[in-house]
Order: sequence, then structure tokens, then C-alpha cells
Amino acid sequence: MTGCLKYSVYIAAGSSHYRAGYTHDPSLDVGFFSSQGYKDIYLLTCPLVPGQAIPLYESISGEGGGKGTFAAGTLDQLLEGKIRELKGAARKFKIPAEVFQIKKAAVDSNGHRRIFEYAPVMEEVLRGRILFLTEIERLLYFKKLRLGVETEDVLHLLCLDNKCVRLPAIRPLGRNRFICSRCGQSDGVVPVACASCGGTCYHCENCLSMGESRFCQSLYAVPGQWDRSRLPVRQVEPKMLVSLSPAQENASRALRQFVLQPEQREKLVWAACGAGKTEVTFRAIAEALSRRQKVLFAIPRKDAVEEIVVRIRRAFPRISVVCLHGTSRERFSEAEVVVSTTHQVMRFYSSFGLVILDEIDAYPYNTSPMLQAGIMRARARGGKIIYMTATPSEELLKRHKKGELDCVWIPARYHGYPVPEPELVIEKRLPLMEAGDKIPESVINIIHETLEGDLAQLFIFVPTVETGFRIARLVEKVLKLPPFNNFEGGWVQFCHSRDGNREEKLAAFRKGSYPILVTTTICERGLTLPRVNVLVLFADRNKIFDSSALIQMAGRSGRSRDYPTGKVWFAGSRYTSEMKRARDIIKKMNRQAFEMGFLRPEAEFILERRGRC
Amino acid sequence: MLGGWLRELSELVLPAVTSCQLCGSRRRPGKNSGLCCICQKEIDYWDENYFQCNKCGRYIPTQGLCVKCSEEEPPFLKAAAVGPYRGVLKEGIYSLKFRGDRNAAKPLGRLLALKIRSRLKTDDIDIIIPVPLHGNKLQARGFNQAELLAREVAREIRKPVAHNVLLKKIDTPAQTHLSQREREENLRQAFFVNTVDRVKGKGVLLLDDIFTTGSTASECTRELLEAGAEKVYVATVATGIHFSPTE
Repeated sequence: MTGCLKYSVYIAAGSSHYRAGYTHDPSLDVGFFSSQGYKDIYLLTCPLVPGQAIPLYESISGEGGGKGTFAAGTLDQLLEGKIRELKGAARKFKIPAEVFQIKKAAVDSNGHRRIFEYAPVMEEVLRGRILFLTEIERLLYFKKLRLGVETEDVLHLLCLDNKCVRLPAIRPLGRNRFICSRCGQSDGVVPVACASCGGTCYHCENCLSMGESRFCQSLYAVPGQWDRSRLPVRQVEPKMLVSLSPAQENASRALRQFVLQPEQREKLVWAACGAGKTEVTFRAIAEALSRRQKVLFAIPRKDAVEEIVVRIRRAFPRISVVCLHGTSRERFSEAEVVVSTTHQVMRFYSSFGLVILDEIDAYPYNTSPMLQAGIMRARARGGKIIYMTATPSEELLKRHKKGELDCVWIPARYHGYPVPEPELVIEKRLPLMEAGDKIPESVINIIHETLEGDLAQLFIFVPTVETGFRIARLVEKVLKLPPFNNFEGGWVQFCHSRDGNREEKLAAFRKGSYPILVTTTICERGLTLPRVNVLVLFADRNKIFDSSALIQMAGRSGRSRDYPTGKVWFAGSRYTSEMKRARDIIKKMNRQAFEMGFLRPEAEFILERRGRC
Repeated sequence: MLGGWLRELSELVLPAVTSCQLCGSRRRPGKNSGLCCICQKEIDYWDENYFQCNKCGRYIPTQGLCVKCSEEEPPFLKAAAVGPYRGVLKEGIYSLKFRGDRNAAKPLGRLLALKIRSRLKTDDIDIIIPVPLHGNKLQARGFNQAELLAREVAREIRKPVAHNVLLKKIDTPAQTHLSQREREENLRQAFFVNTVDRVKGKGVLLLDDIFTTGSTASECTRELLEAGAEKVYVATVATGIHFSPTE
């Protein structure tokens, strides 16, 4: 483990030509450039942290990469001129003038050869990734590679060879303005005391969950797709374990075509909840793998990652697939298909020919520009992205309407039944229930109808954790009274995001060990139960229950072939536009599915009956 | 990005949404603690249901001393900890130590100060000394988490922090996977008191993030007592549990 490395900006001079650079050890640079005729190195600054040295270097390197020529006897003038340029840039970045000096570096130019032998290994290890030095050292340790030389020396030579990109972790934009190179955010960069560089440093608070990104650190990145096009094309076919419905078949063909054609770079898959989106992408994945491209399947939630990786491994048994999330042990493994949370994607750089981004509207991806930038950075040059969602955002819809983003529809579920349309229940006495006081008759009827009429389980969604605790207690009490048959024991459970027993409670609910699960929006996605109804309480809280959350919750019902006609209720003390919008979108999807002929014949009666209701 | 004064002005007009200082969720934080109901409940759970050892502060099922302290008394007078190294405290310490989230030191330090007030005699404390890191580790991490916590505690209990008094001279390997004996061996002679005058005859509060086996706290205490400290108390954010929680 090392502290921060400091770099000096320099001019390497030959007989009549020069080039600019920055280094922590001038010997490496002289050794590297000696074959090009650069004999001497003149340091123009004291050692500076990467956040200062790299922008200063860029200010004098310009478009020509810092190379140029000079007339004999004018080297001193050249150096003075460069110092003036640096001082100009330093004012912008608030760097004191005392750091500038002209000093000829004493160098030993032979040491670099031994270090350079390790460059190909390092390049291969880092390919397609963007990491800090400490992360690279951990990666080398994981891969059991002991270089025997300083890691940063090897990385420096790779950067000189233009095979690796070095970025300051925090880049100054001006006086007191900074941007984090890892997450692309400028708002969360704050000053901190740092014992590593020994002064006031800056770090980014937006991406702290990924480890600290500091002003005195560098990020190293090697693009990932360089040699893949040279490899021969092979034939990869997915092993389809379930046969696709007509709607899925249509979409699957469209996505395969999307991967084959060169023009389009982005595609939106707009599918009903439970339509079977994942299977639809398998042919597109196979097509990308046939072309030796790496594939990324990114999802915002960890539990969904774990579920989908199993399906992908089954579909592609001969292809290497890794699963990445915060506690994954495969973090540094190489594979052709990477199934990852959107946070882990932040460590990839220009790596994937095909990116599939599932649940694009889910938290935290939908509200995080950092994660959105991470996905874009992980895509290789010329790579393609497939966005998948049941509830596309306004922005995506706008782009679709403008014709910028082509859309594939899967309006029907795989079993050919329509998505259960929600019934809006207006109950003025709901606030009493929120206070943990009384449970309105209409809500009791819904619970009774589900448990004793449909013999189904019931999801009760609530807006906050505090409300959840109260409602769970209240429902438990109600189950002991008529019309229920004095249900004793644990019939109701409550789970929320910070519940330590969440996994166990959900597993027991899946098994059918108890019938009612009170939960927050944490369970709005990813849960598939054979026989379940959905009740959203306080659905009028439109800041929490927006139309997309409501559609997702409604989508928990009727997913299985055994009980495709589940029931959904949105209960609130008033109608909100979000409730109506969610209902209308579901209705529209069902209509469309019917008109396209994707629904079973009996579905017509279901839709008609609902229309009359 | 707004300038400092402009930001302050904007916060006056549009106050920032308050959130729990420990977990960051937007659940309404309590008035005194600044923690949301879930974090508060989790921390209170241990004090409501279990006891802390009168000496080392580890959680035990009955009042009194834990088995370890009754067998061999530790060199420090008494230790205080906010709670066991689990759940929200574990996450907070992890964020502070390994993710570099220095803001996590504020709520943790404040919780620790509350505990110190209730469990230790603050009148006996003259200075606060954070457990030091070796220079190499400090260089790599960029900060000493115990020092950040000490600063917060000092602000709350109004006692000075003594920097660079206790130093670590040996860069010992991480203790995570070591047994108690190995830890003791690992830390032997690792610390030394740099300026003896500043601890002589003083009541010292030794501050660290986690108390696992007590090896670090004991080794530091021995050094401080040898240097002439009158009494040494220990305070950590998290501590161990000396029983199976199902008991």
C-alpha cells in the first residue's frame, strides 16, 4: 500500500525537438524516450499531486501532444516560455507560483527495460477496467501476480506508450470548482484534510460508496475491445429452456436484428411486467458473443442480478459468466458475459460491445447521473445499448417520439393473459389506519376476499417504514376478529430495506408460509409468486407511489399460469393523477396486446368484464 | 456549484431535507440524536436487552464482569462503547474506515460522547488520545479514523485531544484474522509515548473505533501507564459480544 504519488511536469529535449510530459521518476521517461532522441529532462515544477500536475501538463501539451521543435541555442527561451504558460494555467487552478522552477533531472536511463517487460501483463490485467492504484494492487494480488517492481512504474510506462489512460481522480475546473473523474459529478467534491498528500485535499462524496476518490490519486484505464475484432467469428446459440410466446418471439427477432445492423446504437424494450424480457435478449447476446464482443447485463438491484445470472448461465452453459455486486467474490474475474449491479459497472472502461440495461427506471439508477455515466463509459466504442423497462421515463418516451430511440414492444405476458388492471378504492377513513388506530371496512373486505375468497397471498404496500410497522400490527389484530376465523400465529410479516431478516421473510413468503406481507416499495420489483393479490395502501402519496412504482407493484399479481387473473387495488383517500395514469397505461398495454393478437381468446372476456366494471 | 455564502443563503430559503446522520435515509431523524427511528431502535435494542461488562464494556447476558475480565483484569480502568460491531454501527465504521466517508465520524463521535457521559466519569478525564496508525498506513488511508472520532468526542465532552503523544512505531499486519494471543504478540512494543510530560499524572481517555479482544487498548494503556498516566479509560464506537445473542 502506498500513499499518493507526486508528479513533476517536464520538457524532454533532444537536439532540436522536445516533448512535454509529467513523471514521478524522470529516469523512466528518459529511458523510454531515449530511442526517439530525447536525452535530457528539464523539470518545470516541484512534485505535485495528480489533480494539479495532469491539468498543468494538459495546459502546455495542447493538441500536438506537447511535441515541437526549437532552434539551436533557444532551449532556455523555450523553457521560460513553458513556465509562463504553466503560470497562466496555475492561476486558474489556484496553484501557487512557488512550485515552478527549471531544474535538469539527474537520470539513470537503463532501469526502465526490466520494468517495461511487465507492461503487457499489466495491460492485459487492466484491459477494460478503470481503477485506482490500490484497486490495481488488489487485482494483482487476486490474480496472484507478483511483479517484483513498483506497480506505478509499470503503469507509468504503459501511459507513456499510450496504452493506458491516466486521469486525475478529482480534476479542477477552475478556482474552487472540481469534478470527480470516476463519477462525473462536481457537486459532491469537498475539501478534506489528507495525511497522504499532507495538506488540504479534496474528495468526492457522491461515489464514496465505491471507495474514496481523492485529489491526490490517479485513475488508470485501459480500453477493452482492441483486439477482439481480429478474432474469428464463431457460432453461439442460446439454450432456450422455455419456448417464447409470439410477443417474445417478435421482440427477440428485433433485438437480434439490432445487434446485426451497424447503424442503430440504442434500443428500448418496453414490456409489460412479467412479460419475460430477460429471455428475449438471449439471441441478441448470442449474436454479440458470436462476434467476440463482451456483453454486460446491468441491473440496479443486487437480488435481481443473482436471479438473472442463473438464467443466463443456463442459457449459455459454455460461455463464461460472472456475477458482480457489492459482496460478490467474482469481482476481479474475467468473463465474456458480465451480469452486474449498475454500481459495479463503474469499474469498467470501454469494454462491452453490447450493454443490456434492465429496469432502467429503478432506484438508484434512475436518480443517479453517476451510474448513468458509468454505463456509458463501460460501453466500447461503437457498442450498443438495449434499455429494458416496464415503465419508461418521460425522457425515454420523448426520445422515442422524436424518432431518436427505436422501441420494441412486448405488451403481453408470456402466458397470454392480460396484466391485472388495478381497481381504485377511495376510502376517506384511511388516515385513521395510518395512525394505527382503525382499519376501514373496505380494506378488511379486500383482505378477506383475498385470503378466504381467492385463497391467495396478499402484498400490502405502504409508503413508509413507520407506517408499515403500525399497519402490520393492526392487520394482525384484525385477523383475530370476525369475519376472519380467529387466525392465530404469524399470519402477517413486515419487511423493509433495513430489515436484517428480509431475505428469510421473503423466502418464507415465497414458500407460502404466511399469507400477508406488508412491505415498502423495496418489494415492488423482482418477486414472482404463484398466487398473489396486491393492495397498495395510501396510494395517493404520489411522491412515493408515482405511476411507475404503481405499475411495478400491480405487476406482482397474475404472473403465473396457475393464477393469471390476480387482483390489484390502489387504495387512497383521493384519486391522484399518478393512480389514474398507472391504471390507464396498464389498460392501454392490454388493449394493444389484444389487438396485436398476443392474448388468448378467453382474455377478451376478461378485458370486457373489466371494461364494464 | 454555488459559492459558500450563496449556498448558505439558498439553504436559508430552501432548507436541505433532513436525513438520518448515520444511514442517510430520509426517514425523519429524532430531535436529539439526529438518527432515524430504525437506527435508534437498533442501537437501543442492545442496551435494553443486555448488559455491558463493568470493565471492558463488551455485551454480556447478565450484570457484572465478563468471563475474560473476571479471569484477568485489563490494565485500563473502564471501557465504554456505543454498541456491538453489528448492523448500523458496523456499516458506519466500514464507511468511515474503508470508504473514506469522514462525515460518518460526526454521528458516531456524537453517539460515543453520549455513552462516555453516561458510563465514564468525565471529570477524571484530562486529555483524549486517539489510538495511532503507523505512518505507512496513515499515508495510504489519508486519515486516522480514531483521530476524527476523537475530535468529535472532544467537541462534545469539552476535553482537549492530544495529537502525536502516542505513536505506533511498528507497521504491524492487520489483526482481522488473528487470535487473541496472536494479536497480543503482533502488537507487543508496537506503541510508544512520544512526549511523556503530556501524560504524566493525567487522566487519559484512549479512543478507538472497534474493541474486539482488547489487545490494542491494553497495549496502549500499558504504554500510557508506564509513561506516568494516572488513569486510563477506553472508549470505542463498537465492541464485542461475549455470548450467543440467542441466550
